[in-house]
Amino acid sequence: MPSPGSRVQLERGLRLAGFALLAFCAWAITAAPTAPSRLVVRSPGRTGPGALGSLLRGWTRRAPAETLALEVASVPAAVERDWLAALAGAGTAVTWSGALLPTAMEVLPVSDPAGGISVLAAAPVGTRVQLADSLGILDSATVTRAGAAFRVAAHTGPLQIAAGAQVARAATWDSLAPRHAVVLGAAEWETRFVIAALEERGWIVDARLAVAPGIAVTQGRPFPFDTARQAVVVALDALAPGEAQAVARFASGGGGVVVGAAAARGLGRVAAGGVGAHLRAPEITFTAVAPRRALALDPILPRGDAVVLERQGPHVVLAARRAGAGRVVQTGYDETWRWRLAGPGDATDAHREWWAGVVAAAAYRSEMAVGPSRAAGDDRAPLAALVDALGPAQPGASRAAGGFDPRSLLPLAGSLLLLCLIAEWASRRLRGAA
Amino acid sequence: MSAAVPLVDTTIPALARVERTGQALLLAVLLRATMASAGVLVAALAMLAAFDVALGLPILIRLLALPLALVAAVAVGLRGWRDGRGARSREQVALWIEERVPALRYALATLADARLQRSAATLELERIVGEVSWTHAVRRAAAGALLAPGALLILSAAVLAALPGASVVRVMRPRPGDVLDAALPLRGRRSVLAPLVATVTPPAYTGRNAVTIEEPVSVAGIAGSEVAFEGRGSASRVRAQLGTDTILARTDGTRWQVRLRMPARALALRLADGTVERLVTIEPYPDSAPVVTLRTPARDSVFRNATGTIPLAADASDDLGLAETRFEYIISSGEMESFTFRTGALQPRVLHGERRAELEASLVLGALSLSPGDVIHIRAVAGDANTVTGPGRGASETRTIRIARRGEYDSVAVEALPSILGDTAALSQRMLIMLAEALERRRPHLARDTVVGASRDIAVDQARLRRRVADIVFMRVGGESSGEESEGDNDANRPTTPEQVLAAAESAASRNLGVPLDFAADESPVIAVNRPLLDAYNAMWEAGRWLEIGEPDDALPHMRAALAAIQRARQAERIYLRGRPPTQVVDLRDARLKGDRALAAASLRFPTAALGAERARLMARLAAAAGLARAAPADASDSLLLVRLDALGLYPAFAGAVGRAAATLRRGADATADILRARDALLGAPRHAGTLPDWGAAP
Amino acid sequence: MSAFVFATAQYESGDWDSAPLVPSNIIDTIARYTSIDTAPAGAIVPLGSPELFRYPFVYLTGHLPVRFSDAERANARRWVERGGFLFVDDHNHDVDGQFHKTVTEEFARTFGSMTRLPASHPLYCAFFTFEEGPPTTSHELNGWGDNLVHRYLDAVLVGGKIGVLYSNKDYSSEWNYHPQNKRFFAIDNTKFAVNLVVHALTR
Repeated sequence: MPSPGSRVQLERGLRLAGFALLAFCAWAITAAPTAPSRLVVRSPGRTGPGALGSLLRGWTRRAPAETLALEVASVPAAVERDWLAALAGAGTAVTWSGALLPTAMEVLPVSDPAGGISVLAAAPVGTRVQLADSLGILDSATVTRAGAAFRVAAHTGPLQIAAGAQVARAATWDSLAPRHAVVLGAAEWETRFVIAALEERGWIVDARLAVAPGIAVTQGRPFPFDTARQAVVVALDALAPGEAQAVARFASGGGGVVVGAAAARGLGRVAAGGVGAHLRAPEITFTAVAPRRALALDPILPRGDAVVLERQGPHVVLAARRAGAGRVVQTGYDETWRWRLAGPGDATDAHREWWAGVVAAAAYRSEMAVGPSRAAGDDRAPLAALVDALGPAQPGASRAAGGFDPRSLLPLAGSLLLLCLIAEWASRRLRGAA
Repeated sequence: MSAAVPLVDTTIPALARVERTGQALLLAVLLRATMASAGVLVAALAMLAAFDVALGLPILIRLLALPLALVAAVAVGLRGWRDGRGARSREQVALWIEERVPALRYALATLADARLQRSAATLELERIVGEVSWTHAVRRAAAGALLAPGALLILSAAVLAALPGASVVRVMRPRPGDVLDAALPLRGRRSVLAPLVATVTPPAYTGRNAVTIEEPVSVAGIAGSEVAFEGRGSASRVRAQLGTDTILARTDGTRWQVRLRMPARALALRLADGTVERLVTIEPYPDSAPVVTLRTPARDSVFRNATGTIPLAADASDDLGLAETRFEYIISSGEMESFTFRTGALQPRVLHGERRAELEASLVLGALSLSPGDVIHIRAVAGDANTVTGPGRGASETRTIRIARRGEYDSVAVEALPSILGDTAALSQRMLIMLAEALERRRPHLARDTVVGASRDIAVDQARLRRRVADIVFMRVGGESSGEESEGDNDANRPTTPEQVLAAAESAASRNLGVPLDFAADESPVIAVNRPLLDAYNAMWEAGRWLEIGEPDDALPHMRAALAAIQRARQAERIYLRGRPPTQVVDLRDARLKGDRALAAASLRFPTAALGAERARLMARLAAAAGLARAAPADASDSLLLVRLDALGLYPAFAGAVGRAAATLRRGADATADILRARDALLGAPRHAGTLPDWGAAP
Repeated sequence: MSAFVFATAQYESGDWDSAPLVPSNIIDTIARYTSIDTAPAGAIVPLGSPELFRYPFVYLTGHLPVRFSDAERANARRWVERGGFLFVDDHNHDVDGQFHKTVTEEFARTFGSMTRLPASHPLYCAFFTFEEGPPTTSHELNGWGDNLVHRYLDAVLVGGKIGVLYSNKDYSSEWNYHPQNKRFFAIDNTKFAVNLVVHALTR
């Protein structure tokens, strides 16, 4: 137990320390912070959206730091990136580091009157990507190779792809300008049911169905082909030589062409491939799992530059190739109307959906319509944008200390002050002093 | 010294007084328990009624509260009774008196002791007790005991009496719709549209009770039901519009009322009070038509002669109730281009709302003046009691009975009444199988002779059934019996093997059939037509052989095969009345483009409407309503109800999800999950692939 | 490429094969005027069987009452909804006849109400032009049956297109002859059949 004399000395010491701390607090509150020569900000993404922005606002009001090192868990928002780029442009050496998921998205309209968009997401293999719009989560997928693709019938507001903490956003547009589809064929069930499927889907169809020599049933204005008016030509029956040339010209001019076996024979090099020997259906009855297996085939012998879209066993039954500026899709299925009429379940819907997909794979899209919208909030490749704005990541750049702000010590000084006062008071009470 | 006598005699004045005191105390205990019980109950009611006045208790709480209050009251009563059970014991009563009257100096307790024996000392005790009165102490104690429960009861009753009677009734007899009786919402409410109660009264013919819905978002009912919307306040403030029709609101006392008849299609009812508007969807569902199933005859038939009686049987059922049933027939006579028809009804019955009915009648062919070639079409029909949108009528499948023309045998529909064959033969065969199986199970415990005897008994029945099948086969082809049974077992000419039966059947067919039937190339007509029955016959024959030698286990596979064949015969494809006409092959090369096409011309085709437009419109409206959900949930709810109304017929799952979202918003809760479900129901889930596509944008 | 097959419906009640020569006659007519790929022989298809879905065009006729079985009703409804074209002709040419009464009742039960086709309907100018609507039959002119000349055909429309076409005009009698006998007619009375088939194949 200390003697009363030493205790008094201790109390004086505590009192003095209290005064000193009080003086420091008063100074810290009134003193301006020294301009930092170097700032380190860690994980702005975890402090909530806009947190980095408010920090940047504060720093920018003061004298800017000589260097600014960011350690990030997610890519700063576009406005924050722009701000950092502006700081860098004003002379601050801005560097960043962090293990960020490279995530990007692209939104493509589908050439389908029913609407819908295709969302492509790029992320490392194994990443779980989640697609959402302003209402909520739409779908999710695990990336198995290079990226993931989503087909969305409709959405509300901008779309976003989230991969972990990383979010890419894309504003979208209402719809594509409607164009017509031309269907050429004989008066037979395949032509009739393909037209029905496309019209039910919402295509405005111009058609020519040959009934007898010199006599045809027509709808709209199928000829001449023009990409300003028509997006795709579907040729189901053998074409007259002049018609075949017109189709080839349409394709090279950017138009879409869908051809059946009979038409493909007349199109020569424009088609996605040659036509093999006719094959009877490998299965007799339509099944819900693989309904098109019950269709007869005219297998495609694809050209070297053709992309195979669908196979039935060893046979190529759907292939596509670029022909000039346009796209040609060739189908090797014969009598798909049988699927529509006799298929199980919602075969009519499935047939319509399939034909809509085939036509969409070929149909013309104007550049203006597909051009990405750069509306506010559009941030399709945030990591790439960060690298673009600030350069590549510099690991270790954030280790050095930054400038000194005495206000940061206020909580500690306050706590010590309180402790000193309590200790001094307790000591006095214990020795019986007032 | 006198003999020791236990002092239990109540004739002793002191003990008699204790006995009387005990009875008085018992009465007081009973009274206190009853009053406490009643007090708790009345207090609970008063409290609930007070809460109802202040807060407007929901019906669920009121429904639960009353039984809980009763339970609590009974528990309090029982507890009080249990606490006072000492009043039934003389010793306890005496002690209780001693506690309150010290002057007794334990004389009474000693006297009351059952073990005490009469002696001189007891007389002294009696004297001491006789000098003391405890009546006053007893009265005071009883009054004290009754004071608290009595006060509770009176106070609670007073509070209850002071509360609005409607609230008391709401607490004591909760019922849907009594929200209109609640006291609180009268103060400070913005509109006469809240609270709102809808009562749906189905049409009288349905016999169903009215249903009351509080704060309805949508009202469903049978088309033609009467729907009444009711609220508090003056009707002059209420404007009601159903679809495009304006409905007048009426005042009924302190309430307004809007009455309408459930329309044929779903409509929105807009109720407006100044700027406040409420939307309720009125959704009718139809009264289904009766379902009628004709049981007999089971198939179409051809009769050689127009004689005999055909039993008719059918079942009818309806979702609400049947009003009439009957069999209908049409008789077609004639040939080529000249036909006449007669119609008639059999066994018409008037019903009185039964849900199910069995129809039975007999069709006497002889009474119908039928000629060869005539065709009778028979079906059962039923009507329901729908007097509003009906009556709904249902009809069974139609069976045709044809009278064969002489010399014309192009029909292969030869079963007279196949269900009789199927039912009896299949049943008998099944019974024989069960008998054989039972014998097989018992076999290890039976002597060989017993097994053989029982097996032969089954064999006799199996043979009888086999002969019956043979008869049916013969009757089908020739109208005569096979002779296997009718000519007696000892007849030397009767067929004894399957081959002989087939030969006999073939012979009969050759004798009787004038034209070939539709049959496979390697089959005779008789075999083709009767294949399943002949299979059954063969299997029965084999089974009989094994049963004859006492081997039921070997017989069983054949017996089961026979049963399967009989079932195949029953389920055999329906046979058309006429054979196929000869195929005419056209020489297309000869005919191609030989016609004069001078008058033929190119023609125009007209486009078909797109199917998805309505879906897209609904999605856009859903999105717009979802956008409103945070800022104006009531408006969003109304918008969603209108979306639901338009989607009901087209996309029922979507309409259901939208309805739930509207109700959720009306409750003031977050409806995002419901809206997302609605979107998925309308558009289907998005498709995805874990990789980028090789071509184009589609996964 | 699939050839057009003229299919005749086989139903469980009535005399479905009352006009056996109509198919070959119509096939001959189609070949005679058009280049439509046509099967040389007709087919007979049970109305209640899955086979029905192999033939988008089916012809149904008879004199006797028509009562569909549940299977026939369900099958026919699904077939029509999927795009089948059912041409029904009353071989009795009699609106008081049992074929008419029962078949219209069955149609109402199976497909819903029928619509009267105006003379301006595209059916009447699909190949040959019939300005006054459906051509009159000799049976009508002779006053047989109900002694009426029926000016219109009725139809069940599915999405605005004909799913079931119903005629009281008795084309079944009119066209029920061997195709070789066309040469005896000054005017081919089967031309309207071309319109039926062309319309069905191109609508």
